[in-house]
Amino acid sequence: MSKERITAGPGFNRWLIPPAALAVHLSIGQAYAFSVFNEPLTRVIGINEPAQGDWGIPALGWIFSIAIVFLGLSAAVFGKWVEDVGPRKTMFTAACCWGAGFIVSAIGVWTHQLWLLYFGYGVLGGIGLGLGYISPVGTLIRWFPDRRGMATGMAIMGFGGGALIGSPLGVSLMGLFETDSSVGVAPTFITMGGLYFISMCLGAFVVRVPAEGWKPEGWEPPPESEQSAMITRNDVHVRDAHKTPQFWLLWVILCFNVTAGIGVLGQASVMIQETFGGAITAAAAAGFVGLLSLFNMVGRFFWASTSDYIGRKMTYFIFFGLGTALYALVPLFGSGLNSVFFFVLAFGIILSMYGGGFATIPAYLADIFGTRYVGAIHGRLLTAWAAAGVLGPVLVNYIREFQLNAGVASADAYNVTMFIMAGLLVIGFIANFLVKPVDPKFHMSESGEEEREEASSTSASSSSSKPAEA
Amino acid sequence: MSEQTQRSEEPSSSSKVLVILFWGYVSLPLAWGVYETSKGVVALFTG
Repeated sequence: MSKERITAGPGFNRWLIPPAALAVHLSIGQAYAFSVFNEPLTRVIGINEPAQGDWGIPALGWIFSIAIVFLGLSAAVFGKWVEDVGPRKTMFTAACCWGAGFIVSAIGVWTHQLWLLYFGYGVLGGIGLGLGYISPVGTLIRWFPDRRGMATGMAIMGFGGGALIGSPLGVSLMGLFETDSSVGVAPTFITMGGLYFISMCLGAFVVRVPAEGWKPEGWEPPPESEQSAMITRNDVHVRDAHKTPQFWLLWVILCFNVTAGIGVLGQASVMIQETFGGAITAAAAAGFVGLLSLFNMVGRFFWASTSDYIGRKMTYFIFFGLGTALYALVPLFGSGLNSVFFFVLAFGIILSMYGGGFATIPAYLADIFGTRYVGAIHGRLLTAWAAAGVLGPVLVNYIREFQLNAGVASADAYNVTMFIMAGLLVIGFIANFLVKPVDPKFHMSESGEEEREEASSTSASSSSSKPAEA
Repeated sequence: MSEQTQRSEEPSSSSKVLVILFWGYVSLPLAWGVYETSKGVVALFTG
């Protein structure tokens, strides 16, 4: 399971790596669909309706929040370990944490101990989320030096797609296990935990790392004179990355891009109903949320792949430039023109760029900091996600409340928020503009390179004695 | 690095089959999820 023993032998097909990464990301992406369990969990005792002693929604809401916090923490703390031990051990550890999180949560439901759900899904599951999220990133970038954006975009698309599977799967299983004496959540947790564990282990079993110096057939890195100055041929050590202004500029870029999307995603159903009054039913609003999820997922692949051709910096200029314009126009499309079509289209594009921001950032990091520690640096950058997870919903929800309390009509309650979001994207645009190549003093020294070569020679000798089969 | 550069060799036919199988394994559940979500999206346009 060690990194040295999973170096790919000759003839290994690199197109096995994206589905291996997808097997992990589609599993952990279920996190975005956890809300389907909230309502049934409020009637574990009462079965048909909440009874005395049943859990309330606010207490249950903490399960998802704890999981996201531990996602960010584990990605930041274990990023270096992920680079050291390789993707297989990390994916397997993620599978154990994610699967065990469901099992412990099931025990929590059976015994009606809420802390077991906090610990199970929140802490254990959150660590599984963080490890699983970053585990394939560095590996994909090394297998696809010619298409870094597309490769990581495919994997991170899986995280968006995981909710599309997890939501109907959870609902179907609860329907299957529901009885007169049970809401069916615990056996659903057991089943999903088992399925996800097996799926993630399959990904871990298939994944391989390329041999040192491996290149795709027929591909040569462009000559230095022709290559963009924004793509480095050097590596920055993870311990030095946060000392560079580039790391913090990219942190701001990710944070504000995510803030703008995550607040809307959480409030989309209520927002479209309030903006268009009685014209949008609850079922239609749920359809709007589903459509945004599709745009979010497709945008991850589309924008990350596009960035391979137009460059990462240009891609983020589009996110921030077009995003600013669309946020500023939303009040016009909504309460101004009363156009559901343009309102939905604007948010669809915005959410595609929200997903695109997640999916393109690993390739941007590899361009700026090199590929050696990209997984670990990506892990630390994900703290921006945790910050945005608080900032986005707070901005949308609290400003709405403030507007309504001030007597603003509900159809106009989001207008100020939209302009603030546009303002955040302007700051993101400026941060992106300021991203320049890293100062050479941060590049890994010769001794660092020697250390790397020493590790790779160990890897090569190990792989030559035990070549991995495709 | 250049001295030790390895080139990708032509993947074996068995590995191509494995690629197709594994892509199918991840694509089918995703397609089902997209289909289930799309059924809800229809409500947005039909009211």
